[in-house]
Amino acid sequence: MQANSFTSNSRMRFFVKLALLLLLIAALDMAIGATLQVLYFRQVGGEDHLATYAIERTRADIIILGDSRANHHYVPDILSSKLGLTAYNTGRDGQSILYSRAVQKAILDRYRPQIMIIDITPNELIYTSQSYARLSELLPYYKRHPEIRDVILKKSNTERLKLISHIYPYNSKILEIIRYNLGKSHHIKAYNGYIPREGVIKDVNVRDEPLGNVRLDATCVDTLDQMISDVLDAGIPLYVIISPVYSPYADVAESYRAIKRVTLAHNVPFWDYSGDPRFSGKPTLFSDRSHLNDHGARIFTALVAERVKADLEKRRRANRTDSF
Amino acid sequence: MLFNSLHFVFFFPIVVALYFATPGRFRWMLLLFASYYFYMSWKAEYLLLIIASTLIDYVAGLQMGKTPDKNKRKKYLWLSLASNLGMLFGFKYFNFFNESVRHVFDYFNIFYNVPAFNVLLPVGISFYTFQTMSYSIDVYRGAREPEKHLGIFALYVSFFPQLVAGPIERSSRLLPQFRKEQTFDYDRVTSGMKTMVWGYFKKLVIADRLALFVNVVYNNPGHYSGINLLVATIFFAFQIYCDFSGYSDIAIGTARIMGYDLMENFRRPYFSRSIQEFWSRWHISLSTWFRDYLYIPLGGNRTVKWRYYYNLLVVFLVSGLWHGADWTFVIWGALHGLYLVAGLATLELRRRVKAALFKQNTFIPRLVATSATFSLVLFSWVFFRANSTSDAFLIVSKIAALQGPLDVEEPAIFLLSLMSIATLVLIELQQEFPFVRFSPFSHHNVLVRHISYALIVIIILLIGVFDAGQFIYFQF
Repeated sequence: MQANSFTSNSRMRFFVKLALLLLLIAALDMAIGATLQVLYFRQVGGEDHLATYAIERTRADIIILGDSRANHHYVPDILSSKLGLTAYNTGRDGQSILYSRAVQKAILDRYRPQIMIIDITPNELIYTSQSYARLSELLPYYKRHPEIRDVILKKSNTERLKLISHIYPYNSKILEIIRYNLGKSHHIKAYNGYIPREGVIKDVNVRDEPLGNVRLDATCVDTLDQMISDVLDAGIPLYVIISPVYSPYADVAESYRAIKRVTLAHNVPFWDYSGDPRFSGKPTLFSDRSHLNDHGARIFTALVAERVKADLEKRRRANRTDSF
Repeated sequence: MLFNSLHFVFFFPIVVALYFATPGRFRWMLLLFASYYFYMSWKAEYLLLIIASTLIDYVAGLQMGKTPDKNKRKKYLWLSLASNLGMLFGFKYFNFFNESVRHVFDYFNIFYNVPAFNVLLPVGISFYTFQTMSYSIDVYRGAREPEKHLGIFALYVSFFPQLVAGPIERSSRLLPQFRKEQTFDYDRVTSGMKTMVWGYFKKLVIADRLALFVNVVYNNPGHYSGINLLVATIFFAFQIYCDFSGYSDIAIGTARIMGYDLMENFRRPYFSRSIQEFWSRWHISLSTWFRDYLYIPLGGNRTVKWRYYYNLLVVFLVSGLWHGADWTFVIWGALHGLYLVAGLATLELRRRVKAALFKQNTFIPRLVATSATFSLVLFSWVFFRANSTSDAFLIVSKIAALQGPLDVEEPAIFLLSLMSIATLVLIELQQEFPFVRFSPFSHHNVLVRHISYALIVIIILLIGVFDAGQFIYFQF
């Protein structure tokens, strides 16, 4: 009897203390999470600030979507000067079509741009776990942006549970949040989202290594399809572009076929510069195998701008002819 | 089911609640069911392998216990060893040896057409086979009586806290614990929880954070400078330590909550003053297993010098192979064997040098010895982590040239990595040479203790890596 009551007191003591500890953790989680939320959206520089600007504030006429290749290949100022429209580059390093979809949804929820450009990598639609893991960059927007929650929840099927924690969306961001609350990055206003790359390729024989065992990601294919549909439904001219590469990507066949199939199904201009001899194999135009340097980006953007201009002119003439 | 998964976060409290609600004599059933469920969450079919190993070793043990005739006992011992080693060879080593033989045949232009065996390595096979073999060997030697209760024996083989990555427990330590009635003990439960939280901290905050840098650099060594490779190697030394010891801590803490004591598996190995000491502090359950079941049967150090050195080399070559079916692991093991042999051969010389240079001073010799040991271990980690032998030699040559610059693509992640290593070193320095009296986790004031525990959890939420996935030693 005595042993039982001792054990039962021991258990009671344990559960009471455990409950108090959990309450303390929950309280700290809420308080620190709320503080991080305020600080996160107050950042004045860095990639998170650029993402917030793209998702919540830009009202540029031309929107560029994509990953690092989008971010480092399209110079908004050149597009602006050639097309007479404002431009903003929402591309982000390390991201995928899933991230672009979220940014696009957030933008279309706020206003209607005049042109959208989706920069796509030839192997973009191949499954990689990083495409999903890196959606963690969008976690801070989960509460404020219901329109992109479905994209964020693609990260894993336990995200809803993890998002009970107020700190979790800011996981691994503490140093940057502190840094960019103290100082400013000069890239935003000067370049409208575009971050130039400097330097030239050192190893002129650099090649992409095949991964082997690649498979098409049906979710990414559907995402591209939905992105195109939404833009066309909004009546916005859309261009799907593969920007230049120094040397060809490996493992692209299935992804490339899927991109072609989807763009053809929607009758959307699909411009492939991946093998363009004006760029491919020219080390002075690239900072590495996948990314143009600033010099290369300016040449490329000018080409794209001219082509978009010609295409828009053709559409205008076609519309005038139709109406007549 | 990984310890760092939400699945386990729900699984474990349910198991503990049911465990303490279940009458003592039925608890083995609950734990066995939970352990099988735990293992099946990886690949249900592989449960059959554990069950087969369990049944074979159970019967072999019983049969050995029935007869004092050593020759008859030996047959059953061989049955146990052959079945366990056969499984291990088939799933883990067949393709390695097959490819090695193929290369030899190709070199001599001889046709060789034995196909590869394409099957996923069962998680934890290296651990549970070694655990059951230790039981069979102990029964054969007469060191213990065979376990007659099949259920309890099955639990010994498959006990979920230590099933997939150790510690490799001896039957004499673990089996009797399953017979003891475990009551809820506040101090033991809180101690177990603290150990688990520290394990999660090491895994999520330190190991998986370091892995972000290490994986990028080691997966493309040609692209990075010597300094990058050196930094990645140092990071890997702490990554593998925190990953593996973190797992062990979670295993030990999990078991302790339910009343079971698992053996200490790591004891601050990077404070070792010699390779010999390193192996008394690193993966203790494996090193003692090899000592008792391979090294001593070979003759140990009770033999002529050349044979003593030979025994050490054999043990460490086998240890290297245990870790992985690749020449990089064999080289890693061979290096440690050579280190030990060289250490023994120069022991007297080093003692004389130390006495001549440092007289009564103990700090500088200790610092030199610890640094030298860490450097030797660090060098061997290159082979352990590299994706191939050619990568390993490329990395070694680039580190030797030590050309820069240090290329850090994400400064924030790099800084967090450095801070996490610094935290670990400070905490372990305090544990090794207690220099600060204040310890928030064992403070007499309950509020201080609770705030400390809460802050650890908050730090894990703030900077832990949640997408990294499995523990390194699961691949062994």
